[in-house]
This record gives sequence, structure tokens and C-alpha cells, in this order.
Amino acid sequence: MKCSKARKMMVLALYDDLQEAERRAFEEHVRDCRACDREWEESRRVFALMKSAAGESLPQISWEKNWVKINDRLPGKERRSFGFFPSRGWAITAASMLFVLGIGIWIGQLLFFPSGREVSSRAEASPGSLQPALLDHLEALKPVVVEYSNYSVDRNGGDRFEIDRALLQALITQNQLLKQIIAEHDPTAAPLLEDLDLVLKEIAIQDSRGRRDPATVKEIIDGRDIVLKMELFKRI
Amino acid sequence: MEESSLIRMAQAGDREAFHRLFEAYREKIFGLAFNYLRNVEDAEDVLQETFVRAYHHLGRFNREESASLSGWITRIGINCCLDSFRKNKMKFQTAEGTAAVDGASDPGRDADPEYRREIQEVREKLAAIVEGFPPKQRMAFSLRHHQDLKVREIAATLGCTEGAVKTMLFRSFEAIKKHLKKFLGEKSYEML
Repeated sequence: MKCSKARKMMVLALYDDLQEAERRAFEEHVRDCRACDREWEESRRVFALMKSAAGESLPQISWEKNWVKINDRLPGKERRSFGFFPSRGWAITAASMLFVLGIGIWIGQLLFFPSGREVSSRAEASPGSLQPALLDHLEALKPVVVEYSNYSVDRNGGDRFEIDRALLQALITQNQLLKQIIAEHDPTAAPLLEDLDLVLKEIAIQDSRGRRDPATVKEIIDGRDIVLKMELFKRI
Repeated sequence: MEESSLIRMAQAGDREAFHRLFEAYREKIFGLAFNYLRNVEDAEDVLQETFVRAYHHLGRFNREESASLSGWITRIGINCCLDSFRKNKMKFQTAEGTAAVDGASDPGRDADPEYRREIQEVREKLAAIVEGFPPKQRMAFSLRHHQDLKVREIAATLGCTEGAVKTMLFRSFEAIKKHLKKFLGEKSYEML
């Protein structure tokens, strides 16, 4: 085993998070290498110090007070009988809004954004179909977001990012519509859609000005952990 | 009562069953949030937000029969922590300004005010180092160091590879070692 590999394994060895074979190889290397043995001894001292400090108990808080606040934000029992919606009134209002928005989406996509039709047309069907539509939307956006997130001047060597203008417009429209429809019913999705809105608009602004600066877009994506959040959202 | 029954009841709108789930996971989520954000108020906000989101999405959890509620609710908690972190942009507080309580790592020495002061100093130093990590690395370190999750579990929770988690932990420990080594040299600790 090389010393560099042994050094990387030290933190895992300290947390006892090595496979049996890895642990044996690591111990063998440390036994035979004086430099790594010294490093290992030092790491163990630092780790012991970290562990001493980790004895910190959590601050005392009132669980009851927190529960009351949570409880206040949950929909009432009787209102759950309408499933996704807290009451009949909400269900009717939402259905009306969906209908109007659905018509808007259909007309808008028919005229301007043919490539975006498949995904957002599912959002207008019923409240129950919003979730799959949102997941589809995230899937459609993933390649764009990941590509910008992976951008590096060294690797990409400049402006090689091309995105079809019609597709970009369709994605922006989809994102805005989903944001309006879903946001108030899904607190998890709202901030994510806001972040995506920001990314898409930045791309669109750059595109309209005829310049491309993938680093700025990458900064927004990485700064807001958008790729991670998209991944987590799919898993929840 | 078994957890699966509580989940079914909570999904049907039984608030008492959801309260029992809250009782089962509140410390885990609050611990995750406090260790990540180092601020009691923000951690309480994350605790509340996590359970509100969990309640709204409980139906979706049931469709994934193999998933554990603990992992699922932790992922919601992580998401809330990242949101809170972004909103507050490092509204960092060391243990001095919070109600953090000293843990007794060595009961015999706990009574020694000098020892307690030095431990507190290490704690603050460590918190300040971790504060400088990128958000994802900070979360990986927190999950390993405070939540005792294995590399495999952290990778699954954060949606990245085990290799990436190992790299983040290696970088974290190297940074901590670099700073605490200096500290050890200055203090010539007897506590080790």
C-alpha cells in the first residue's frame, strides 16, 4: 500500500469504518512505515481531542413548545378527508385554478413551446398527478443543471455550452407553472423550484445578451446545492 | 406499538400517532440540526420544518416499503438544514452564546474548572474549523462525527458515491488536524 492511500484511510480507521481487508492492509502498512506510524500516532491524538470535545450535550429545549408549533402548522383531521387539499373550498378553488392554468398551458405550448408539452400537460390533469409531473420536470432539468455544475475552465476550456432556445423557454415556463401550482401545497418543492427558476433565468439572460458565462451559472447551482437538493427531493 | 402501525395511523390523520413519531425522532433531528447549524433557534426551526414536511409527505413514504423512517426523516432534516444554512448564511454561534451544556467525557476531571475551560476552547475551535467547510462536506462530517453514520449510509443519504464521502471526510480531518495540531502544541495537553 502507498503512503498516500494509508493517509487517506486514517480518518476511516479512526472511526472504525474500514472493511476487514482494508483494516488489515492499513495496519500492516503503518507497522512497517515509520513516517505513517508517526502520522497515525498524531492523528490518534487529534482524534482523541475531538472526541473529548464531542461530549457536549445538546442544549435543553422545550419539546412540548416545538410540538405545539408543529401541530399548529398541520392541517386539521377533518380536512384530510379531501386528501391533498385541506378543505372542500380549497379543492374547488384549486380545481378551478388548475382548469384555467391548464387551458393557458395548452394554448401557450401549442403556440410557442411544443417541446415542453409532454411534461407539463400532466400537471393539469389532477392534483394527484402533480408529483409525477414535478419529478418528470426535475428529470428534464437534470442534464442541464449537472452539465453546468460540472463546468470547469480547465476541462471545458471556454464557452461550449449550447442550449436550444425553445427548450430553455419551455423549461422556464414549466418551472414557473409548477412553481405556481405546486408551491403552496408542497413546502419541499417551493424553494427548489425557486432555485431552478434563478438558474434558468440566468442562462436565459446570458443567452439573450449573446454571451455565455457557465461559471456564474455553476456558482448559483453549487452555492445553493441544487444538484444535491434535486437528488434528495427524488428520494423523499 | 410498532412503528409501522404508528405510520399508518398518522397517515390516516391520527395526530397522537404522529406525536409518538415526533417523540421517537425529535432528538435525532434536533441533534443533526444543532450540530450542523450551531444555533439553537435555527435548529428548533429545522426541527419544526422537518416534521411539518414529514407529515405532508407521509403518504409517499408508505409507497417505499423498504425504506426506513429514520433514514427518510433524516433526509428531510438534511434538506431543511441546507435551506436554513443558505437562508442564514452562517449565522454561526459557538457554544458560548447558546445553551449548550458540557458533556462529561471524564467525570473525574469534570469538576476541574481548568479542564472544562480547555475542553470548551477545543469545542469552539473545532466548531470554527467546521464552519469553514463547504455545506456538503460539513454535512458529511456532521453525519459521520455526530450522527455516527457509516460512509455507505452517508453516501446513500447525500446521494453521492462512497468515494466522494471518503474524500470529504479526509479533507475535513486534514483541516481539523492542521489546526488542532497547532493547538495541541500550544497547550501541551494532559487530557490526552
